[in-house]
Amino acid sequence: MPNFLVRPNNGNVGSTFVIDNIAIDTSGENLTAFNIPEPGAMTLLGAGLALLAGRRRKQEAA
Amino acid sequence: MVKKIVTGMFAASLCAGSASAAVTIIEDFQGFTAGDNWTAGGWVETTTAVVGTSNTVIAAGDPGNLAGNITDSGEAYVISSPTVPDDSLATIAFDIAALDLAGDVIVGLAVDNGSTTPNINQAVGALRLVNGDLQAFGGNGLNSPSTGSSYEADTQYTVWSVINTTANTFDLWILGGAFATQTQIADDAT
Repeated sequence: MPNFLVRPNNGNVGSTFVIDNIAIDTSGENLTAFNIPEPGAMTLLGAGLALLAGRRRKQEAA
Repeated sequence: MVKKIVTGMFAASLCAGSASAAVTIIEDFQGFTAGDNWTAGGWVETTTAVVGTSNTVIAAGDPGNLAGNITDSGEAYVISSPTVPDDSLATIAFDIAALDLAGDVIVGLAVDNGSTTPNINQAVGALRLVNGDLQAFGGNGLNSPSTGSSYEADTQYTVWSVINTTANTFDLWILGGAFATQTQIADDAT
């Protein structure tokens, strides 16, 4: 199990930077594009699908 | 009509998934507070805006970003220890912005050597930002960047490394700033 590291290579120079949203994909695909999902995006999609499915059931029952 | 809408949403979901079917956020820093996991030269939580030479890199009040002011040399800081499958392809990605071009820092995966002072020279697919140049950094040291692979200050990039754990090679990609489309800066690097 590897580590995700940050290492200053020249402390005399110093580096100031911002890092966010570390993600991993283990699908085995050779990804030439990568979209880091915003946290909660999939939850919102799931909620939307559930809402639509519920409406459909109501329409079919009516 | 409703059935068509539902079908359409599933289709859109599948299309998006084809590029990132199994993406998992392993660290979004939401739970971090100032000083967590960092010692000398460490990080500060950004309760105020972080402003570079020309742009605001991150907005005030977003606890999901950390600003690192790295002045210590030689010690690597462990952020996370993700599980990477053997004999497969695994992609590690992150967002990064440098506030200026003066720094020299390496970010990415390295072999866990079981030490409290992990060694970035055992990298398996990392990015080095140095004086405006982007470089791929692997276990065999630096790999020559492709032409024009420089970065700009105050600009956020998404970087991802596709690691081949069978051949022990990696491809490094970047998107953002002048890289309007995804751009490969290393191919089968070691």
